[in-house]
Amino acid sequence: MTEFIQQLINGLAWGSIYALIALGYTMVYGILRLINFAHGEVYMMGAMTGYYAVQWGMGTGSLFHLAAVLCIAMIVCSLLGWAIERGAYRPMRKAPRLNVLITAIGVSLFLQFSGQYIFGADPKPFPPLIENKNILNFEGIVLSNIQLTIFISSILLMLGLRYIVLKTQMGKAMRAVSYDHTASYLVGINVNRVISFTFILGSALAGAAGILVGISNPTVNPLMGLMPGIKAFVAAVLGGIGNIPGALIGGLIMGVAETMVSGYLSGTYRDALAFIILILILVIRPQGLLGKTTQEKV
Amino acid sequence: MKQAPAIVLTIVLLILSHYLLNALINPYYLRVILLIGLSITLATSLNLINGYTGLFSLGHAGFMAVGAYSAAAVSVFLIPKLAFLNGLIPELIRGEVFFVLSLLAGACAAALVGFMIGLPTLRLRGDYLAIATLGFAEIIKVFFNNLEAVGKAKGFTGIPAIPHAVNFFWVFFIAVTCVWVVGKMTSSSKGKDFAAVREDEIASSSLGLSHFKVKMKAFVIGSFFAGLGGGVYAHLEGTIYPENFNILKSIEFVVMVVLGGMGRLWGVVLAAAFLTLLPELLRELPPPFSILSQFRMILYSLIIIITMLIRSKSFAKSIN
Amino acid sequence: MKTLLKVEQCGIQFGGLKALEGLDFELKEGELLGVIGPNGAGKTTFFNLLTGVYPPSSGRLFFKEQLVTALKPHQINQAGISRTFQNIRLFLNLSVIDNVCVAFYQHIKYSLWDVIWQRKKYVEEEKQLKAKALELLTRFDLHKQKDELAKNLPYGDQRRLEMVRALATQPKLLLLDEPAAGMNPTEKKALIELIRHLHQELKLAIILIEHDMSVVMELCPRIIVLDYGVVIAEGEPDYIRQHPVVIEAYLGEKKDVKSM
Repeated sequence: MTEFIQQLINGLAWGSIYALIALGYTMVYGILRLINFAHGEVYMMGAMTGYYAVQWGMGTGSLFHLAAVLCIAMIVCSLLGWAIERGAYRPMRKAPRLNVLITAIGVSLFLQFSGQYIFGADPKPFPPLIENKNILNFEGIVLSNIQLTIFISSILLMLGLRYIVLKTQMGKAMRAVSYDHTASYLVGINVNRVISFTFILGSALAGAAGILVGISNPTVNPLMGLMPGIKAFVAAVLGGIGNIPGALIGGLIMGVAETMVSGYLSGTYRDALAFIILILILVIRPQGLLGKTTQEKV
Repeated sequence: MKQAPAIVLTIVLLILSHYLLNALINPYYLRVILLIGLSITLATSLNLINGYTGLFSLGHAGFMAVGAYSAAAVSVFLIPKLAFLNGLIPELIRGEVFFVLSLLAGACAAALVGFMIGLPTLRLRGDYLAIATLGFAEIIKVFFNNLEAVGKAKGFTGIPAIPHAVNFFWVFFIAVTCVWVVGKMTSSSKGKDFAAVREDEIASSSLGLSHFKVKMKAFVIGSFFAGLGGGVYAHLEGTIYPENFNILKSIEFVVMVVLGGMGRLWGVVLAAAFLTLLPELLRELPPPFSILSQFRMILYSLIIIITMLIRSKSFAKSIN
Repeated sequence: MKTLLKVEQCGIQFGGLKALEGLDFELKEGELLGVIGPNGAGKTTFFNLLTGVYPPSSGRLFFKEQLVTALKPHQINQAGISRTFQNIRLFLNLSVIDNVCVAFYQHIKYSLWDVIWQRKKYVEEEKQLKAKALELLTRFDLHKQKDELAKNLPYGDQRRLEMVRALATQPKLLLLDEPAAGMNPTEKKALIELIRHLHQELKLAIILIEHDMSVVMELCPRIIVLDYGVVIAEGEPDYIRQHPVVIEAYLGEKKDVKSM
């Protein structure tokens, strides 16, 4: 039982990171019907930004440093997300979806290969922004300050996102655009600006996820985005693609499930698990846990 | 058998070019040529699925893996036990008979896996199918990574070489067959069902086509040829690793199909050849450009993005 | 004449919305029936019901005395019902003749295996198919554009090509969804002749949905009027023309339909 609860805590921490990445996928999919394959690389860039920010003079050791690095990573990733949308996706607004998807894969490869060239292919030790301490030890169940940081940061970021999407003018515009581009355009919404904003928002969350992974994992590398990226997309599908609470739930389930499989079965099966979940959900409930079905009009 | 002379001629030509190329070309270039042949098979079989039928499979390397591992397993584990058949087969072609047996076993295994994967996934919409096939390919990889009998991540070693070392012959015999089958099928009236389903599922079902069956047909035939290609690849390499068949490999094939023009037979063949050659060409640029060699993978990805941008411009023009 | 199609108390419901309700009628072999009604009356839903696109929420459908309620669209077509679409659904990137040839699918005897080996069986039948397709295209005056891509045809030609394609499946019953939409008066006149001809020559039963009253009145001996998913009148053109409920449904007030 102790072990189960411990695995659950570890899983939820890992799942929060999936959820942050999945949110970007789900928002972009909701608004453009595009699987933004490059999103995993944005997250990688977040982690890399953190690494270099510390290398180039940001200090370490306190929550303030962590917050500062987190902000820098979020800003850098926002810019990157904006640039990706502006440079690669916007010129293809009218193209067949398949072509846009291939472009997304191209951007993803470009960032991976450039990352390998610029940062070097070897894993880099991520600087200890905060010292790892166990702040809670209850009959063998351990909660570290890093896990707590992950939980608190994720919750704050998600509350912020919720506020933006539900309460602000831009959030309303995002929801309108996700229903219908033409109609939104006709009521005076600047659709391109809304799409840019969506990419900025999603990428900022991915950047934050990059830092949170950095502080909990020993190393970062230019290829670290590929698998978590795809799995976060699976999490978004699991929750119901285009659905923001769905991405959160999907991410958490995915994180917990993976941790449980690693803990109780074997780590080598971990990578297959996400896809088994994916296939099951697609077969049993393709619209995802919280999604709605739509029917094509004849 | 009206086609018999053409087939014999093709075989003779392929064997002749094999010896010619072996005599004239250094092994490094020959290897690149062989890789081109394999790419043509894989890209053309994927073209049937993604190009002609309009599905979006992102897991073609998975079927290649099933073909490669199954064919290799037959060669390594089963064929030695078939020694009692030796008397029945003339020695000259004994190796070939067993080799073809392994290849067919691999192709059929891939087709069977294709069928089983198709059952749940072919009902899914476009990009969901992409991610589901990608997932399946990944599951297949994890499966081989955990299978003791085929060496896990350390690789499946000791796969016998192609009999009589006529590598070029087999690689291109399969490529020609694949291009022939896909080309002839899709240009017949009966084979236009693939394109009809791609163009409009609702209209095609109003004409009595079950789009599920049509998609399944494309999927199974496509996986069959991917399996054949995989089988040849395994015997060519002698050792195969699950990592040979990762996501990047699947993406490579998709890029070939898209660059060549979805549903264009020769376009995809050319794109397969070009994209297989490209990294090699970039590797050996003449002096002023040789600095670019270290960026070759970056250039490769940029070429993908730029091609898509140009494609989409011309597409936008055509609908306006 | 034998009954070809029997619709028994059929209804379709989308959530709380009753798109069709209590539909109940018979169609004889070789009959030509017109269906009219204001926008949103459920006409296209009615075709979607007959072709299995939307299964009925209640009621039963019989075609040639065979229960077809639960069949999928492609099975309905194989049973002998073929249709065109209100918003044209051609295979835009296929040539005109390929649009027709693929519709022969159910009747093609050669297999893909014959194709791969380029057997005589395939070569000969393929030649016949092309000839047959060309003959059909000629009757609809589309033979000159046979190698054009369908997307490059003008609107009126696309509508006619869709009819050719539907006919190529050799149906017993043809459903035409607003075939005259977007056509000019001359084209409409030609279309009326064409439909009449098809009907008489092929002994084909036809159900025609049409917005243009003149087309329906001229072609169809029997007309059904739908409004809000319910049949509000049924009968000969003259009867319909003067039916007060029909006039009200169309115009919201009492006025003669003749003046439309």
